Amino acid sequence: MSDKRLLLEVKDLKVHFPVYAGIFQRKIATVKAVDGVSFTMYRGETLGLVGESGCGKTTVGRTIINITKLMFHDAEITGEILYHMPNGEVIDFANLTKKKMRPYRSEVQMIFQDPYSSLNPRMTVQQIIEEPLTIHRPEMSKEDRRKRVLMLLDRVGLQAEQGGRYPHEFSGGQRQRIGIARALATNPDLIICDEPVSALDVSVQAQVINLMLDLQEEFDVNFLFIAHDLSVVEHISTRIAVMYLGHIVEYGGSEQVYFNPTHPYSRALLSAVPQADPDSGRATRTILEGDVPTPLNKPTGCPFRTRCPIARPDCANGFPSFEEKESGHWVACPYVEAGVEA
Amino acid sequence: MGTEPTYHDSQKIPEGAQSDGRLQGELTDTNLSANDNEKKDKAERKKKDDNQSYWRLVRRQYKKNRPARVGLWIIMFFVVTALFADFLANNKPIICKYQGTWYVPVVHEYLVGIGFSSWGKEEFANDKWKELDYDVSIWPPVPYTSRDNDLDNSFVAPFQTGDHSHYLGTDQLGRDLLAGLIHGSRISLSIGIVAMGIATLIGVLLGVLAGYFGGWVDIVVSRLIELFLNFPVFFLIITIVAFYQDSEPNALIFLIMAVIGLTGWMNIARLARGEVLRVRNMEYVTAAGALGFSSPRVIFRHVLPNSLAPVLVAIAFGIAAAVLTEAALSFLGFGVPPTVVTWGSMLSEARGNVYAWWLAIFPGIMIFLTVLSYNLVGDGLRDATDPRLKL
Repeated sequence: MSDKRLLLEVKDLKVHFPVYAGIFQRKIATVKAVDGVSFTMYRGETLGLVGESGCGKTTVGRTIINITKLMFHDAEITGEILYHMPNGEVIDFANLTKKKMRPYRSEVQMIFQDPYSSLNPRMTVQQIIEEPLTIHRPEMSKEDRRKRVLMLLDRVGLQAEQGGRYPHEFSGGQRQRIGIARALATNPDLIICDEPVSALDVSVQAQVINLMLDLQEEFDVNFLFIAHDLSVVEHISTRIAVMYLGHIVEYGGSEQVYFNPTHPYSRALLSAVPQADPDSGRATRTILEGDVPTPLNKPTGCPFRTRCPIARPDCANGFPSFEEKESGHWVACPYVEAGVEA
Repeated sequence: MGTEPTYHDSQKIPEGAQSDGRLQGELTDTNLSANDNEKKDKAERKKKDDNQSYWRLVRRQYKKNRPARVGLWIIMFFVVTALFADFLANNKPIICKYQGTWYVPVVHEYLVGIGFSSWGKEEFANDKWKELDYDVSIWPPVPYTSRDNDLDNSFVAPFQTGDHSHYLGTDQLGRDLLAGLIHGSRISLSIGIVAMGIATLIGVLLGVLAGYFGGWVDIVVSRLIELFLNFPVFFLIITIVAFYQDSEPNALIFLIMAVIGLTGWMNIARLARGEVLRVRNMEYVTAAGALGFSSPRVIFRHVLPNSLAPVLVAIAFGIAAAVLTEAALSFLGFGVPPTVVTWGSMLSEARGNVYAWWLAIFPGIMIFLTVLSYNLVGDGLRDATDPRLKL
């Protein structure tokens, strides 16, 4: 792949939420939800963003489509989010005002985690899917819009007559399909999938994942796939980034990270994935001690050092730099080697 | 994947069975109706369910609540009474043939009132309808208006029909009590509705702004609510009314409505704010933001429709409170001008004539029924929009 075309470059992204207290509402602390995240996405590949709850992966996704500020007015966002449009134009989404962002909203979309709360219960499915079109494709006639909604319903595996129904009449998997149809309505370039299947039954998960893979091809759309379920991410992603406490700690091809996790945190995370075959003989099972430190008061240096099985005193001196352990496989830990158990 | 769950022989679905959140609205519904003829019910519902919206669910839930239904009927009865008050109690015939010509005096009166027509005949303009010789005449069931003095028949007790027809008796000036009740329903109902209309407008607007935008808007609105809650509303109204005692009767009535409304929005604003705060954090509002919808669109299409149910309940209770406030004001003599008869002013007349029990009992019953009905409706709405029914 020599002519990899850039899609998204995130450079040193920091998202901090100030905490206020007291009668004068003084700022007493900062939640560093995302604290210096950088990665690049190329067209045609799916990036999987993995990490446990509270590690900031959802915040990264929300910040990329620029809705963090809408939800939390006082969020402090620094860094760059460079979106490369198909025509070569480059836009920095970070701190783009609501108005200036609007033209790009039809290019970047999001699929949400909770299929029960992500659809407006007072609107029919038809209205839900049609609404983005009325905003972003005002030139379309009513009939065209209706046709496109029917086409989308068909593509996500719903029947046309279900368009007149309300979200509560559908199952979780069907609702998530509606959410996917809504995200696809304006024919976007990039879709942020924020744990799209973690609220679904395992059997339904597979259906939805496969549907997404089919649609990715058909609609020529790129996915940034956020999840905590590694096996799901491995299935859908070309590359995987592992996040811990607001930092990316490991970054590489999906097989590299999944079959050859190198950072101590990734190893612990991977070893927690249940195996169907008891004799598959995973060598070790790393069980982490303690809880994730609060992002209010993070450890100095490597964020993982408080729970790291191989931590050394000098881990406290600054965030470790990324080292390329094998081709395209970057790890933020100087004390591990790819393929060698620590 | 089927959309319709099939409960072939479900007796009762236990609470825990809903924990998967799947089609909760229907589950709850089935649960409640589980006892009575299930199968018929189910088949019927299947037909209706095809396009069921939230309000349809609420309506069905509401209908199951007998007191709430009765309350709604009573209110509807009062509304009809108020609308047709002039046809129910009037000192002129509804239809009459006088000197060879047909007249519809009650309707004619409206036209004269707005200046579209004139009475033409002097005996009509003099309001001496009862002394005329008609060829044919159909009279309203109560042949008096609320203002007609009948000094020969003062303090007639109820149900004593002589050659008059004062069914519920008269007061000191011989004014018919039933006519007063019928015409008084207009004031009571319109005070409740207009006052709460004003309160709802202000309350929802401020509440939604505070909840949706947060920050300093929220701080300002919240402090404003607290400020207004500290007003001794009743005394404020008395003071204001005292200042404008001499103005036009209709203007004064509207002033009272406006004051009750302007001092009664806090509860609604607080509820609306709380609901909006809840709905604002739902993912569909985030999704609307991600889709680039404008703030007004998000507010009116996504936030408001999902946060109005509790406000509706507050409005029902608020109307009841407004009716009571007006009655209390009139009772104290600070309310509507003396020429306008309301239930409250009728009560205040009873104060001076304790032996004329009917003057206290009947208006009291009317106020009681109205307030009770609105409270029942509010209760019913609260139950019908209960979050367990939420979709």
